[in-house]
Amino acid sequence: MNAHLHPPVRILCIGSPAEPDNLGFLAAHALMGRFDPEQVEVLALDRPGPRLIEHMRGADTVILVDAVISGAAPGTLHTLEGRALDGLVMHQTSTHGFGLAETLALADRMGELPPHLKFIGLEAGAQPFAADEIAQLAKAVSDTATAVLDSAGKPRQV
Amino acid sequence: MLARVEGEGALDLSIENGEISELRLRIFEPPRLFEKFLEGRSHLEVPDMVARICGICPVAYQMSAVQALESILGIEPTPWIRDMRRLFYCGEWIESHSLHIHLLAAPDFLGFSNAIDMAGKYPDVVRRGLRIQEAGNAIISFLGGRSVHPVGARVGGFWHAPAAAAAAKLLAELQALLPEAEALVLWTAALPLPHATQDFECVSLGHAGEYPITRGRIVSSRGLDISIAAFADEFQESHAPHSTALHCHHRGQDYLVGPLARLNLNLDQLPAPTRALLERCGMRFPSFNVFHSIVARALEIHAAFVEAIRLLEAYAPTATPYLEAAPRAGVGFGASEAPRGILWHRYELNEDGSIASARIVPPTSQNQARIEADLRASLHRFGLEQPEEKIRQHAETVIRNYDPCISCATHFLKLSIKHKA
Repeated sequence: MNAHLHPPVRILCIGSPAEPDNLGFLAAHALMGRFDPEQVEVLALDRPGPRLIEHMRGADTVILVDAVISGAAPGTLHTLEGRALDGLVMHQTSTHGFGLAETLALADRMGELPPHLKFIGLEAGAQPFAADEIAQLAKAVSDTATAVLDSAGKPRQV
Repeated sequence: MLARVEGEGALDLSIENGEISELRLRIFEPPRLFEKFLEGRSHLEVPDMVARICGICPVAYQMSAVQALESILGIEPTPWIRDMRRLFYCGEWIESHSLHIHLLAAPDFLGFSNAIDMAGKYPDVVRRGLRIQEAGNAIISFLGGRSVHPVGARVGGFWHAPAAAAAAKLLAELQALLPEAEALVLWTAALPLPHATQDFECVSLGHAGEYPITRGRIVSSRGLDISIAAFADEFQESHAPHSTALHCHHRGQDYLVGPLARLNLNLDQLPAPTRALLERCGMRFPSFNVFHSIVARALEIHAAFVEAIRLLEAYAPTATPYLEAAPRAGVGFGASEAPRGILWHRYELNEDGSIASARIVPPTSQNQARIEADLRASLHRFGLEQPEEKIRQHAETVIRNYDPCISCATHFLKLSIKHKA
């Protein structure tokens, strides 16, 4: 992946095309078309494992979107950044034992994390995500990306 | 075959009077039943369906499948299709081998509990590994449209021929990374690998004039040389009560498939630059120390780079990236060298081109009996009086060294030891 071909702000939505782990794909579809692709890239990544590092390389700001399970009420939004990301639990159930937490820890050790990294998670429940939950998540991601672009003085909407 | 590619494993070990009385590597991932899913589906759906069996080696499943199906349909791939399939597969070897070396195996040999800890001390090594892995993914995307579960392959060839400009860009990336692949070989050869020679049969494909990837006969270090159609006559799959994965034996004996077996049997087919590198690295093959597999993987990464560069230098788009043929009934066989070893397929087609039956024998099934035999010998040599934690670490190292597709689970191998007087 050539970093210079990709914009400095990236929204990386992690999941599977199929239920139940399809939050990332639903969020990506809800976000696509909201941003100038020259400024913000929205990607739906199917369980990327360590390839996530490749997708983050060269970015100034990365917003990660994924489903989480923390025991909070289903539909709760979680926003983490900085060292708070260390709170993501390594569960080793993804491809060859490399899930999101492991990949971020690996990138951190190698100095490969982007300068600005934000994580927005939606608490999963027993049922598939409802449309209003996806809309809530998409708005949070959109607001975060918009704030980043505003602070950089860059145009944002299509 | 119960097509499980990632799953949970456990090792049950019973020690009686200082000897191993029972050793069982249990795989209890539920059956995925892909072969039954295929029945009744069109043969044209098979490449996309079997790609879903594994996120690490989807190309292998696709290439063994199309080979078998095309043999029924009477399709003889053009040189362009053959070359692109080889290139496609080189990408998979590069990404899969690099993932295993850096994220799974190397931490064992350097005394780290995982790749994250290793990256703290060897960030440049892990970074190099990820760059190499990305190069493999880029090759797969070039022909497959995407690197995970690629969609570019079809029965008869590829859906489209990539543009020459895309090939030139990929070629430049690979040429720039070739020195890093070379450095990786030298780095793995310098690792403090255990000395543990064993007696086992190596089995791989063999094809005159090329290092085996997409085709060949089945050959072994004990003189076997058969067509892939005869596989089921020589190799027997059986259910083991403790595992949902089938065990495969060659006339009752365990055997090894994978990079070390391939290298041992095909040294003379390595590309010249890789052969020269092998001389320089100071290792000697054939080797029957299974821990040398990590060096074999690195050598195969280098060979795949050399091959991919050669194929891309000669690349020109074609107007006929695939061939078509009317469906017909028949039985066909396919075998290719997945990163972990021979992946054998057999299909029976109905007259309308639907799948009547399918059988898939993956390399992990073939290596499972070998892993158990290795564990028995290795743990005995290691010392059964050692603390359980040390035995667990050593057992994990032995298992991971084979790169089974249960690698993710064997990271947290459950070890049960019973000591009997």
